[in-house]
Amino acid sequence: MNGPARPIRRFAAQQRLLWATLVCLTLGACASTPPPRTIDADTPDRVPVVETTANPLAISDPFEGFNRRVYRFNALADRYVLMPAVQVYRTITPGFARTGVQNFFSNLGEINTFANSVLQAKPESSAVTLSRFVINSTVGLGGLFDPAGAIGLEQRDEDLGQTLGYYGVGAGPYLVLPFFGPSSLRDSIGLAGDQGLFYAIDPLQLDEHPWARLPYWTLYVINTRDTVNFRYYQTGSPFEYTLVRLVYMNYRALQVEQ
Amino acid sequence: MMRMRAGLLFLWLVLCAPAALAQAQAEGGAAAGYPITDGLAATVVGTPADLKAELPADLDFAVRTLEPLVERETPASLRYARPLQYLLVTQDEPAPLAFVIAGTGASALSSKCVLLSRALHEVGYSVACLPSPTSVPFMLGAAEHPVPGRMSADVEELYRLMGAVRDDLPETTEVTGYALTGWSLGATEAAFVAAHDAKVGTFDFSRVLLLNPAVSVWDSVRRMDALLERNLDGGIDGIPAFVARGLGGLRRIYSSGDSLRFNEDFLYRAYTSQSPDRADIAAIVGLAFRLALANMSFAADVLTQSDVIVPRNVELGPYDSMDPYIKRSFRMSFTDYIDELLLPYWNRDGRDLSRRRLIAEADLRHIEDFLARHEDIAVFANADDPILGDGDVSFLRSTFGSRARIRPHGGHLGNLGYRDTIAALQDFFSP
Repeated sequence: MNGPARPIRRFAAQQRLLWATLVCLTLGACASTPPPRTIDADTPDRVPVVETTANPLAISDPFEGFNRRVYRFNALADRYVLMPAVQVYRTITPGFARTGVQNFFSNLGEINTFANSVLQAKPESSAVTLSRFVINSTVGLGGLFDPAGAIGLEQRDEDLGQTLGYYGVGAGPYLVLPFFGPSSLRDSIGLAGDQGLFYAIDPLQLDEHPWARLPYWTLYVINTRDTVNFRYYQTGSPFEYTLVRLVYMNYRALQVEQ
Repeated sequence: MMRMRAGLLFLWLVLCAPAALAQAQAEGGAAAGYPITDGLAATVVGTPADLKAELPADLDFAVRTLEPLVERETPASLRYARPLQYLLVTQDEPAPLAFVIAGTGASALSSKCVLLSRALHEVGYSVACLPSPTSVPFMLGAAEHPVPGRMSADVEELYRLMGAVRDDLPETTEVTGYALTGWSLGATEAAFVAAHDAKVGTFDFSRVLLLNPAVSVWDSVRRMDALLERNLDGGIDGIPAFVARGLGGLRRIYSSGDSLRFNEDFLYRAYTSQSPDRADIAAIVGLAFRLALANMSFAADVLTQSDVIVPRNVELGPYDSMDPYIKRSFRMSFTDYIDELLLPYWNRDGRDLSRRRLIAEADLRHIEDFLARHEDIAVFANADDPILGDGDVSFLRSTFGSRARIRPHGGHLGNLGYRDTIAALQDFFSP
């Protein structure tokens, strides 16, 4: 039983090392800002809880002024552009069609999840994600349906930000990105990498059909907004920025650990 | 807008709820009825998805914007709370209009507004849901006295807002009469609004339903203060440890392979699969109220320049960090709020409004005769509601008599979405 497992494990270890090296090289610059400590099993005993991300006011946010501006910009863009577009979308599209669109983009997202499951050497997650992609792309008619979910293959959630975190890269300071919303330095780099991979693979062959780009991205943005359960200023709190920051940083730390 | 609940829930959840999910114990017995027998747990968890009332999902909600009812400059730190909005859903035919008054800190877009609008619309009402006088948008845009808590003043301002809403209705909406409801503090306010209307006669409400009202507002909020004091180690300074513990709980759920998803039923499934520590649940309830209070204290302080949270010589810019003021806001208990903001505001010109009078005015006993006399006012309450004391429950029972529907379990609004509750509500409002 143990025999065949060993080379795989060694391979995983080597891969980890390779990635850790790569990541250290590319992210060397981040090391100069002390990362906010998340609270988990690796948190050293000498670090008090109040100095971790469990303390809403201890989260590293050196760009708070900038972040708050972007947060406000996002809220306004949401109110005047995105949500009205989503409203129109909901009015003209029946529910089952919206679910189809949601499944379609979610299925394309499996490519990134798969790549990052492999990068983190997670065999189960990789296998489940690959199976989901194959089943949903074929039986599920190009991803419009989710038969894989119906037979118990639950969707995994991995991205490059989590992969970097898996190899020990700290989150770095909190960042709010225009349109994308809450992020961190690490997750922003991850987001760029994930988008880059998607461009490189170009699963829809948008390169050959440049006319499809505009409808694709329009629908992508509207669908994303339609499916994200968040409304700006819905908390009613003057401290919403800080609450969202607390939730984001800790939620991501949990995801990385998963 | 239908989805906004999850966003709030999620914030609430990660801020506080996970701590409640620690060991393992399922709710005993498959007895019929609302299943959560602990009042505090019911308050946090709400109604499990399969026991919720089925209501029409595709309603044409409109979020309508009103011109501010008071002239004031918006402080930069409160810009987010503009504009003044209410939630409206109308019937195509002439129909009565039901006003819904939101509970503590809640805006007109709260999930309970949506729930109650659906329930009332189904039985033939047009529905306008109003923000609570304790919510920042109301304080900023509708309150001449932006330090909520004095019942007579809050009711006057609500009444004015209701008038503005009536004038703002689309021309196609034909209103044949008025009804009124509200939940939590909004229910208490609804009772006072009804009493006021009985004198003034503007709306002449055909039916008024109080959903889990506070009987004595200040007794109720003192109970919430006490929940925090007793159950959150280290008080407000204990929040980081509490959050850390909560994250530990979430981590255990994850590592146990339970793929819990963050959806509306997350809390209930977590509650039944894990066993919550009662003190942690109590702390969550206390923290939820404290968050609402912190928002209100901060806004009241900034709007009146009371120098309690933000020093008078500090001009907070729109993008300034609020860290020092967050801490101060969260430290304010309800008692501090009365003593440092509410009473000084009303006594600012040398008047001498006493604490005792302020407290007595915000008590349903103040209008006991009115409530006992009026056959068209009813109340829904739960005996294990953490905002009520035993005396409060018996007051409701004796004052409302057969018009009181008092369930043994349900906590504070935990069973509001439960199918029996909604059925009783629809029954009450049906012609």
